[in-house]
Amino acid sequence: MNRATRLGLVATVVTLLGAAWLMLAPFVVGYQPQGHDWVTATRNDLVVGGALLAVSATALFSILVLSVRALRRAAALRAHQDC
Amino acid sequence: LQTVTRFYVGILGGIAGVLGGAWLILAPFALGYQPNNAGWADATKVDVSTGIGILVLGLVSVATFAAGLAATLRAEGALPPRARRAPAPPEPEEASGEVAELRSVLVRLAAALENHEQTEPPGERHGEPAATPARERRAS
Repeated sequence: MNRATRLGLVATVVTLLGAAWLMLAPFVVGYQPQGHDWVTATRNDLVVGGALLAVSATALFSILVLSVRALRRAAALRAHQDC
Repeated sequence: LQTVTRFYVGILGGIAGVLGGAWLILAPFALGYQPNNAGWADATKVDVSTGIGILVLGLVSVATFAAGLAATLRAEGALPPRARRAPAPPEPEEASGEVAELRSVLVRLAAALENHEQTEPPGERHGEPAATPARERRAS
């Protein structure tokens, strides 16, 4: 895994954390009144935050799995060449 | 193909981040929960600041995964190698030996020619008297 890929992975992880924050923000910051229907800002933050969370989690998982597969394939090829 | 799929996934994730971040910046004004002519509400501050952060992270993701994709394709020979700068031409060496002698002869010759042109009367340069008509010259 080269340096660019690692940096991209870090950016994806931080995006995931940002999306999680976005989903919590209406209740933590307090612009969603307790005991009331969700206001427009809350609905928007939950929808966008949920979508970003899903996309970044899927991307993170896929990149990690594919990177591990590529590393294993490279190791197997090296072992085959050594024999 | 499998070696580059992860880069495409990363680029798509980055594009989603860019679009989501841009929407978060616009949403308070587009959906109307930021009142006009008033200070920014808490929801606006949260959405705009988080949106800027996610937008920048998305750009970083796209740039880094695209760079990784290009490097991998280049390593596999699918892309031409990056053009390297041509090395600077070597500094001319100090003339020595025959070259120095030849140079000094040429310098002296050029100086002599210049001196000759300056001292020669006008109209008689290059051995052709300009004022004499061609017919007279042939007769003489």
